[in-house]
Order: sequence, then C-alpha cells, then structure tokens
Amino acid sequence: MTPEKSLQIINDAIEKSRKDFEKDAGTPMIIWGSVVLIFSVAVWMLLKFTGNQSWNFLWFGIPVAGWPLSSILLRGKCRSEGKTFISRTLGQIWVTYGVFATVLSAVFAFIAPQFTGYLTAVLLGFSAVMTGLVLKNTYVTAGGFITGLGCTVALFFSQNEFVPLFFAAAAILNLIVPGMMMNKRA
Amino acid sequence: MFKKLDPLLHSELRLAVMSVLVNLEEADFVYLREATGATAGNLSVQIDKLTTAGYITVEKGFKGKKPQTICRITATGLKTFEEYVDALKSYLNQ
Repeated sequence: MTPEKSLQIINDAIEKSRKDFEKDAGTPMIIWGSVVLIFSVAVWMLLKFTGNQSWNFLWFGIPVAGWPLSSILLRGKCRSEGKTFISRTLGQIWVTYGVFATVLSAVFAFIAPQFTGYLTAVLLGFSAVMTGLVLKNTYVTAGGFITGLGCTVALFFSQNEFVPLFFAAAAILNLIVPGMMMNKRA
Repeated sequence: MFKKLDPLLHSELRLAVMSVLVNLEEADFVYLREATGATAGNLSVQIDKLTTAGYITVEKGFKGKKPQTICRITATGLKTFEEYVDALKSYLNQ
C-alpha cells in the first residue's frame, strides 16, 4: 500500500464520518419542533375558545407524543451507531431539556400554570443557545437568545393568553428552521 | 530519512477502522462495517487484531434485544495512529 493510498483511506473515512453525522441530523429537531408547534397551537385554541385553564395539562402531551413518534420516525435512520463528542453532547443537552421542562411544567401546573409556557420556552432558548455554540452555528445561537430573552421579557409585559403562541414561535425558530437548515446543508 | 510505518496499521481495512474510530468516541460493529465496506467476517478478524494490539477496546452488550458490539480507540491506539500519520508525511515530503 502506497503512502498516497493510506492517506486516501484516512481522508475517505474522515469525510464519510462527517457526512454520516450531518445526514438527517436535523430530523429529530424537526420532529420535536412539529410536535411542540401542534400542541402549542392546540392549547392556545382550546384555552381561547373554552376558557378552561385545565387545558394547560395538555402540555404534558408533548413528551407523551414526542418520544414514541421520534422513536418510530427515526428507527429506520439509526440501524448502525457511531457517536462523536458533538452528537453525544447535543443528545444530552436535549434530554436534559426534556427532563427539566417536564418537571418544571409539572410543578408550575399546580403553582402558577400561566408561567409554564414561558419557563419551558426560556429553557428551550437556553438549550438552543447551547446547541448553537456546540455546532458553532450563529443562527441557532441567535435564535436561542431571542427565544430565551424574549420570553423572559414577555413574562412582564404579555398577556397570558399568548403564552402558547410564544412557545409555537419558539418551536419554529429554535427547532424546525434549524433542523431544516441542517438537513439542507447535509 | 523515512520513518517506519506500523505494520499493523499499514493494512487497508485496519487503517480504515482506526481512521473512523479516531473521529468518533465510539462506533458499533454495523457502523464500522458500513463505513469500511468490509464483510462481517473480515472486519471481525481485523478488529480482533487491533484489540490484541491494545489499539482499540471492544465492548459487547445489547441494544434492546439485539446484540451490539461497541468499539472505541484507546490512548495507545490514538498515539500509534498519530505516529503513523507522521511517518506517512515523511514519505510524502520526499
């Protein structure tokens, strides 16, 4: 084997790994973003037309629907498995977000349900910033800051009825659009 | 002066396996097979050789109900790979 051939093998392996990890990397974000968007709009409409605050419990439908849906839709794409530091870190950031968002929502559902949407959106923004910094992606980082800071400010100024719409916008800004951008780039 | 190329790495499939693992924290057997285009039998033999040399570690387990073999590069493997690339440069710079 010539040195050129050795170098070619190393180069091909690096390139293939890079492409494998970019391929469909945005799909989980699109799936979760779509679930969040659908539930946010549903909660907003139900609250608006019924006035019954119990519909806030529908937020818990996000993890309940999201986990099985993402497992089913991603099953065919994950036959083999390789992990980079980045893919592992991103996975951990979003699992942590899921845990915190669910626990926080559960607690605030009883204390102050009107803040649940804002707080989970702030956490969403924070997770998006972390994702953007790890990926060195300016759009994702900026989108996270806009969501996190925007929702913090909105806590003081906005009407509670718009909370689900903020969350829907955050899902588009921080999950769906970045996911589509990542898939398009791959 | 040419540097000596590690004979264990100077094989197409073993070099491909090491090159993949240098980029990843870990990879399962199926991923390595797809990445290298090798047959399962041949890959298994080469992985055994790399394991025996201490260049990689192999962890056998289960993912759900399916058996899964996870490979990771060791510190020795990483150092050897870096030395191999350095040695390659000495050939290419001539």
